[in-house]
Amino acid sequence: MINLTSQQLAIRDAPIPGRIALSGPAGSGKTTVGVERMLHLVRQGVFANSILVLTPQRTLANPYYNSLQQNSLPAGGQVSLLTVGGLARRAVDLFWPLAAENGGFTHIDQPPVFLTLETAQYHMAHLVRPLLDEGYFESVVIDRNRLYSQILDNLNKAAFVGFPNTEISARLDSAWAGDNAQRRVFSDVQECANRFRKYCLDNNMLDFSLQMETFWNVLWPNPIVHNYLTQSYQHLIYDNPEEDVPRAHDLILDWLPDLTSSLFIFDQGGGYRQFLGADPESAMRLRQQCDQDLILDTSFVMSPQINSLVTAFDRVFSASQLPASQANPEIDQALEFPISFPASTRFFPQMLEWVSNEIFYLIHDHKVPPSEIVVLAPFLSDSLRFSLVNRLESQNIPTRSHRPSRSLRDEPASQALLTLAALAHPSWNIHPSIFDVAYAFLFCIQDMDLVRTQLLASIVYRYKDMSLSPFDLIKPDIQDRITFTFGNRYAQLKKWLDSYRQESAQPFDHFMRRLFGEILSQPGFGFHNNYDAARVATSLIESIRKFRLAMDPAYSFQTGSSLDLGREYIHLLDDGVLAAQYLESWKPGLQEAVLIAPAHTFLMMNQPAKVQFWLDPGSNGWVERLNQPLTHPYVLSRNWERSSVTGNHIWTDADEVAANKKTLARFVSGLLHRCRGRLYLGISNFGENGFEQRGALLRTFQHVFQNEK
Amino acid sequence: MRYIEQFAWPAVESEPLLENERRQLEGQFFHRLVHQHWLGLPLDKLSRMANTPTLNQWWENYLSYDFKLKDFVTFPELNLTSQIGKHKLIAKYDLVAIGHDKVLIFDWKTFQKRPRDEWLAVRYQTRVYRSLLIQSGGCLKNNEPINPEQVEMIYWLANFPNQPIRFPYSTTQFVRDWQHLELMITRIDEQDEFPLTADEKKCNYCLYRSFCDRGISAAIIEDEYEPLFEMSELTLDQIPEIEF
Repeated sequence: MINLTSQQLAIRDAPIPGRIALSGPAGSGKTTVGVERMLHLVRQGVFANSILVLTPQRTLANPYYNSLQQNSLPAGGQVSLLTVGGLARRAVDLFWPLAAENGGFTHIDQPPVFLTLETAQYHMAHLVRPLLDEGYFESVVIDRNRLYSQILDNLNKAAFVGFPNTEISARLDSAWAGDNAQRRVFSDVQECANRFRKYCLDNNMLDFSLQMETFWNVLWPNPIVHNYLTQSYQHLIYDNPEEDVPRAHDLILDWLPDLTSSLFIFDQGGGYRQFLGADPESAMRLRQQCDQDLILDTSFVMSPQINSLVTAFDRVFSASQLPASQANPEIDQALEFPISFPASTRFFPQMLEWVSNEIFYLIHDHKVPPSEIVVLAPFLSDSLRFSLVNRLESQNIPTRSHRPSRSLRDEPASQALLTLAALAHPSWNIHPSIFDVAYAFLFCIQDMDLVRTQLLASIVYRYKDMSLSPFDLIKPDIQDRITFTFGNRYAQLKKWLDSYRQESAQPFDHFMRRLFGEILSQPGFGFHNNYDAARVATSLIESIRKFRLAMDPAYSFQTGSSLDLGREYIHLLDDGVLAAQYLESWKPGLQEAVLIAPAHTFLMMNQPAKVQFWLDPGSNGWVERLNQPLTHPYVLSRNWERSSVTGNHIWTDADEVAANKKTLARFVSGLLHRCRGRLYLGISNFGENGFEQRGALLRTFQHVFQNEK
Repeated sequence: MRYIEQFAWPAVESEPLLENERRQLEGQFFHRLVHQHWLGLPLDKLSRMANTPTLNQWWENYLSYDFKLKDFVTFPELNLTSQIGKHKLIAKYDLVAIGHDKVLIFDWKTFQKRPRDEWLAVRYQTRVYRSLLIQSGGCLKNNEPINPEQVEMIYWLANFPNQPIRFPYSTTQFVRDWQHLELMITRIDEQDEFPLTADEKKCNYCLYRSFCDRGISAAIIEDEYEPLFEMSELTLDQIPEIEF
């Protein structure tokens, strides 16, 4: 049972009809009130199916979800926990016959195909690749998958902000003051976006932007849909609208007159997702429509010392400019702030060593639970993650790592499956190397060691025709070295693959499921009782299945074409277009563990910790946005529209510096508001890439400390 | 494995895989069409979506059947939930229709063969759907309790439109069903280990057969066996959202 303050109780128990705006800094108990209000509504007899809890990202709904799971509530319906994206997706799916006819789709008698990020990238690649050969994007040096994703991102921004997707280029161009070659790039972006949109409409495909536009422009104005939604949901709790996009706010503003009750919960200082289209200023329009405007301003999280650090930072950030770069980036020991950093570390690995030792010390000497410790970095590279996890695990410290995306193709289990798939489909003409085959044996044949697998692969595998010869034909002394136990398992695997080659073609994901179930997960093989490998195999197979269904919108189940799709899938996987990233489960998993995450991810998990480690504060990654030459989060926003009414507004270096400063201030404040006790700065003279570190965050710390002296 | 351990296992559940997938997708499309019909979408727009021979046949069968629900308030694709022990029991109903003195539960089935009534009668679905509606369905009637004698569950078979299978309900059945569910849930809660089933035939239709070393290949599905679970199984709450 949560003890609420009288102020929280008053909000929870406020009369049901009405509109309440609640704001305050992170950690002031706003979401707790939101959760309690939701439970209160249900306990007061409100039909749970009529309650909609809206969050800009699914992770932010976790407190609501957990509370619904844990609390005993009157029997009845179910509260809906959704994002606006989820709401749009459901509406398009459910009201597709209306959407298809009025949304400009070609095949109004066929079902929609919802594209995932990866299948959208696949189709974009299909359209853009020939144009690259014609010289499109000549002046841009960027990975192809990033190129495709930025074009998609522009379409998303048009949908989120509400401008025509045919104006992307004009908007980017009008704010550009640099090299004229870039204007050609913007024009190429527009051409690709136009072609992609037409391709989607011609094939009933909906990427995220088209789902949104179809919902907002076609379905929401339709009386059947409008009535369905407004009659289904009469109570709204909208948490963190400042992290949502302006069109989401438009939707709710339009919906407000039909809602019996609404509670809007604003995180003061939020807006961490601005680079994804979030618009805190637009969200304020919702606040203005409320009958009551309430504030919770007492932090239940920050210690007084952390609070004083926040104040000190506010003073620095409110100055007109960030402190200039100094020759010597070292900082002095803070006087009374709860901050620790290593006495002197020159290299990045030394700093990581210091971090892992401090964590050990915190857990063992100060009895800090591992779950109360987070290690944050601006980006979490594979090598950084590995280095930290390795160091901590060697000290028996459990870790959990959250990254928004992980590469499937880099997982050994995926590689083993894909190697065997290539061997089973010689017509694909994908020749795995002898090392790939040895590693596949290593992974798939339980307990077999690298020496034996390499020996076996070198004898049985013929690269040219991708065939495997029988174990029986190996010389007896070599058979002895490999052992008959492993030889027998190899023979089973070979028999299965040979038998498959004789059968008629089947969809690639079906092949994978059979390979997994009939051989690789059987006793004696590498996936048997291997939970992690099974999880990876599940993700890979699901990715393949979605790819197949997206390629076969009419669900014609043509096995021949599905077979070719297998080859196509592997090629695109190798190119990094497909399964380059997949959303990891946000399920908490191992809770009693040190969290290692990008700072932004931690902010959007919205859970405080007693101790925070900030790695590499001298890195510019804390401040500067990603290099995105084909898009622009600020120019393609409503704020830019508002500030450029004259039409002559150029994005200058000064704008960039101001935006970076604002972002840094928001990040620092957000992180500190989620810190209960102490901050550890992982400083080293040279950063992860070996460069000397003098970034703005480090300089700001220097300034804060100097002010306090 | 799936629900307590949340352990994914991507093996084949039953054969023929491709045919089962086609059936499953057609079944989903049919459910979606019927849902859209109850939401009031224009018939002409819906009918053109029934664009495979099977789907078209089901759709025509559905349209030509008189469900006699003129004076009923209908709730298509309704989720209801109730606390049971330490857990939540949740059911998703294809259609609940509330009349003056009748409460009907409809479930659309696309079985190729008509199942035996006795088989459906003892299925958990029949027992859970009716008893849960008694527990939680008051919210559909201005919090007025539902009397078990008012309730009837109707399996309407798309391939046998004129042979619906009806299961009326009674207070005795309700008490028995709910107690049984509570007992089962308590047993599961108290169980530390779950011994393998003695009926190994069931393993032929289980994803986890290789995990338990209970066979190699999936068996060909018989009509009365609906898949226990499928990788592609979706509920509305599981519809993926694209993060942005």
